[in-house]
Amino acid sequence: MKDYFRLEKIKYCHRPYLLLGRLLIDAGIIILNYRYACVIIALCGFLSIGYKYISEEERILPMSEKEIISRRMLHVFMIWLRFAILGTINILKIKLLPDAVAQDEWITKKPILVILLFILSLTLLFRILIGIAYINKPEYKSPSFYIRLIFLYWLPLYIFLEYAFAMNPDFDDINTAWIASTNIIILMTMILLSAASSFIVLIERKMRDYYPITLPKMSKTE
Amino acid sequence: MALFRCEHLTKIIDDYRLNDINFNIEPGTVMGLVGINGTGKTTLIRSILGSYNLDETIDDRGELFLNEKHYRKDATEYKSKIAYVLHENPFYKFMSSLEIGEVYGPYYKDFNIEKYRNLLKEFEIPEKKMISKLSKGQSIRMQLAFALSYPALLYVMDEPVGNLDVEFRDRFYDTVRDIVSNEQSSVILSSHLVTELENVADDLLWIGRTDNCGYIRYTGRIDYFKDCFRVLSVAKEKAGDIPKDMIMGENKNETHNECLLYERSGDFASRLPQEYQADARYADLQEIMYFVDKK
Repeated sequence: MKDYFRLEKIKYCHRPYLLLGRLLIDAGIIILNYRYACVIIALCGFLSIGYKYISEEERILPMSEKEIISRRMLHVFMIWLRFAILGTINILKIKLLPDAVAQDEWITKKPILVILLFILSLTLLFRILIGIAYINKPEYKSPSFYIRLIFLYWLPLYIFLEYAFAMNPDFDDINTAWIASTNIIILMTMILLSAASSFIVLIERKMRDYYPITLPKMSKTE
Repeated sequence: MALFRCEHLTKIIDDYRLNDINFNIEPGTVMGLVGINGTGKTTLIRSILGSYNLDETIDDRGELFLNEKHYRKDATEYKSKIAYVLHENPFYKFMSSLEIGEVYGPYYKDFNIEKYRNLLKEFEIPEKKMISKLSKGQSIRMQLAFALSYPALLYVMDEPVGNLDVEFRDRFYDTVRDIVSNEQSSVILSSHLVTELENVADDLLWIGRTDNCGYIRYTGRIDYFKDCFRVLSVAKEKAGDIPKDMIMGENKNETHNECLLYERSGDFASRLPQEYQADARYADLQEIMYFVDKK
């Protein structure tokens, strides 16, 4: 953890434009409309999976494969944790505005539900992306992986969505239904992005890192 | 007991295969790693360092042991005893030299940051300059400072001297001799400057290439190897006097043929006709490589 923060500090110290970019993204997630914030999170979250690639210097360092991967995963996890916190602030900020407090909106269970839905969808998306990123590991090659993917990740997400809408007391209201449906669209966008990312990650993985999916044809020359 | 063992190492990268590499390094020796471009010297070095994984799913195989520590099962102990100076700086490029020591140093047991800083000063490397802004020679010096700041058993150096100025090059070779003088550590030194290499190396690992396959041409003592070769300049009309099986390579010009002769036992006196024995001279490593690779 100490290493992570030290590396982050060094990274931004030498390249302040990266810090500016990061602050802009962070501010965007807080300030923008919830829907746009979700799209930014989905896009940046997808890009963050790129951090899983182990650099040459890390492979040389005296660490086992497991330690290197956990070091990388910590990096990705910290990005997603930041998004989760910023997204939650985005949801809360509407409810904490003077008008909303006056109308006692904060007391209703709706914002809590939205936050829970947001955190859960983020967690699931994170898990799916990480799973896809490591898809060429032996355990991900078996059909049981996809069965697990459906039953452990996708199905709970679907059930939770259904439950969230069923719980919504204002479901009859057209405006709320509209918000609910846009939430679905956002989630669908996230899911589509994850599917697209799986494709990109697979292609990228084939081209680099010297882990070709197909075996190169060798000629016996000796 | 060998300090480092490389057993049946096969590494495939794209359509190139570095095939079945076997060699040992005794403590206190400098092993020169030579071969023409693209034979797989860097691939071998990166495999030893662990920056290239041996992926058995694509038919990579082999075992590497440093002081009996396995490269994968005892990865931490194995890698912590290897120091490296590479042609391409492996460190994060957006860090200063000092930050490299502060961030990566603690991964190595007994890394001495004060020693590192002193060496940077000695090698005239600005502490706060980013790695990406260092010249090639400075980058090599910086890596050398890092490598010398912790006690390693194996020092792996991939073409470090090509970009060093003449003055520092002498110092570099002195450092290599110092490293092995304790009879505990060893050095693998890859270089295209074969003449210089032969002055510092005890052992030789020569990698050759056929089409898309790299293999060992020779591994062993460098003196024994050189003993098996002679260079002889012979008039064109008398070239037939030399036994054909001894000729490893020829350089033909209008009047003379310059031949590289090979005799495994090193006993040229019994095989070479008497009249040529005085003219046959010892070949240097560069000549041997030139003739053989040309062939």
